[in-house]
Amino acid sequence: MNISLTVDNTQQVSQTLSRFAGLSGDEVAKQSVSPTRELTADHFFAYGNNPANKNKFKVTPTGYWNKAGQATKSSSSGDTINIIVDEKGTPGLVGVRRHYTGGGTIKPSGRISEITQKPIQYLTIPINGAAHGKTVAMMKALGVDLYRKGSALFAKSGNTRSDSDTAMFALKKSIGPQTPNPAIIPTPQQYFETVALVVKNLTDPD
Amino acid sequence: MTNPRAEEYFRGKRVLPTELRTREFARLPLWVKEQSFFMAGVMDAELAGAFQRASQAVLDGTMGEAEATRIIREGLAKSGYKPEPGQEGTIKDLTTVHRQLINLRTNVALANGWVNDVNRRKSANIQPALKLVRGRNADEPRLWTQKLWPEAVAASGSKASPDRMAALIDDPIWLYLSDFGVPYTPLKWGSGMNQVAVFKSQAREWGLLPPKGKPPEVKPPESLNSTLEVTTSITDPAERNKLLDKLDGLAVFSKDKLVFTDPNGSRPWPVPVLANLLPRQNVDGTENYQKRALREWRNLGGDAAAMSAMEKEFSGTDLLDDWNMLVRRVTTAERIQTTTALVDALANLVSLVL
Repeated sequence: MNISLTVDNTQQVSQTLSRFAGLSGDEVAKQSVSPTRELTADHFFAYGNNPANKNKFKVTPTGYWNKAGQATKSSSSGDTINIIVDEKGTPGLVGVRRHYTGGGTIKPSGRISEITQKPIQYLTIPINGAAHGKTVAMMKALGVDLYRKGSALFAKSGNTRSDSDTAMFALKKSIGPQTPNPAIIPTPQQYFETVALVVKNLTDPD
Repeated sequence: MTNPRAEEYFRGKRVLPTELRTREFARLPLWVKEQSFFMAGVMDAELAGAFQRASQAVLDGTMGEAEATRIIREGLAKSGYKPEPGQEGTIKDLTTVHRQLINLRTNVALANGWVNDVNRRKSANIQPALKLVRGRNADEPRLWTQKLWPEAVAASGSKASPDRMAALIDDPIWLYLSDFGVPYTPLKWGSGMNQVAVFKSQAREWGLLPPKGKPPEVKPPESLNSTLEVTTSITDPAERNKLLDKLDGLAVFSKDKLVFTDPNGSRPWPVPVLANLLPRQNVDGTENYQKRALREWRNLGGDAAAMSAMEKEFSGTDLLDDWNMLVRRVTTAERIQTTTALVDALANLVSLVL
């Protein structure tokens, strides 16, 4: 899933600046494509690097926000700049939009599981640091032997199941709703200031 | 304004079986690294190809990492790969999922890094510098500010400050820091550090650009790779031709050297050589930039007046840089002394190329 934002304040900038520099809104938007991408990516990097946003398991971070920054792309169309977090092709980067907008209940898609070859009925929620940032398929690829017991997936600690096995994933029919978190992206004011800096640097002679 | 695509860039890579280790490979010319897919010490093209296909599937978004490792396992089984004695289970063992994931993730990150680098270079007129920032915490972070950066400033010929991790986009420090010999992130295996572009005004404040009113020294444009060449031990003509075929016009042999033709750059070549070089498409399938510039010159009249018109018409654009590099390489190679002779040479090139 992608998050797509339109920074539509270039018009305001261009109206002010066009009188001085003869820059059109389209030109300002075109020149702002890369700088607004950089602002967004930098924001993701800083967000992910903030100790307050550490994962709850206190284990090695998966670099979710780092990936979001690296996968941030931008383009312009007329006087509009579009900033997209391109989740396709970035493993482990899912749901950036949901972080931003929040949202209702998440349920299993019902698609056919690569592992069981049956429709997926449960969401698998990591409940152990060893499973943090990993899918069930990844745990299997890593050689972890998982089995279901009640409403959780356990990892075998030996060749057979035992009471000392550790629960890795909780099985849930649904989760949510998620609280919106607008702080994951820069504020409109930061975008505005960046576009203003673009114009300043464009019109600033060396 | 659209983005180049990471998956398309990666699709253009060709498998290069090599005995080189990553550090040795990093010393090869940038164009070789960007156009080839290699794995340290992997001579089996089929096996390297399996890793490439897995990375491509991830970049295309058609497979997750876990599923992509299946392609790799199949490739390993098919090739009969066995880790070197003593390396079983280590990071050098290709059968370990850990190694496979590092490879996949590094390939994805480098492809994204390439895209960001291309876009930043387009905006270098307003954001000419980069700062290095951490985007992911690490259990044992490398000593970037205390050690790696200051050491690289001293050793690379960088003009950056040892105290602030920022440098101009073309500063040699980026290549120096990279394990992969490319000027963009990731610079190290598994690194959580990223480049972020910096505005011209900020770069000036940080001393990366000269103070306002004091223009930087202007040099005729010269491409980054204009002098690249490597000495090779390949003497067999058939092998040489095979390699040249693979390189698709990007290099020629000159005695024992493989010389980069620099299709869009400033390496001097006489008109007949350029007439072969310019019609070739760029790796991404677009038209050679200098051919495009040559056409614009012809459209403006293809004479001495058109030389000045190019400056006026395309001021501040990449096309003017392309044009100036073309003029520079023709002038140097043909030892041209007068404008008339230059116009004649360029007109000759027009007749051969357009």
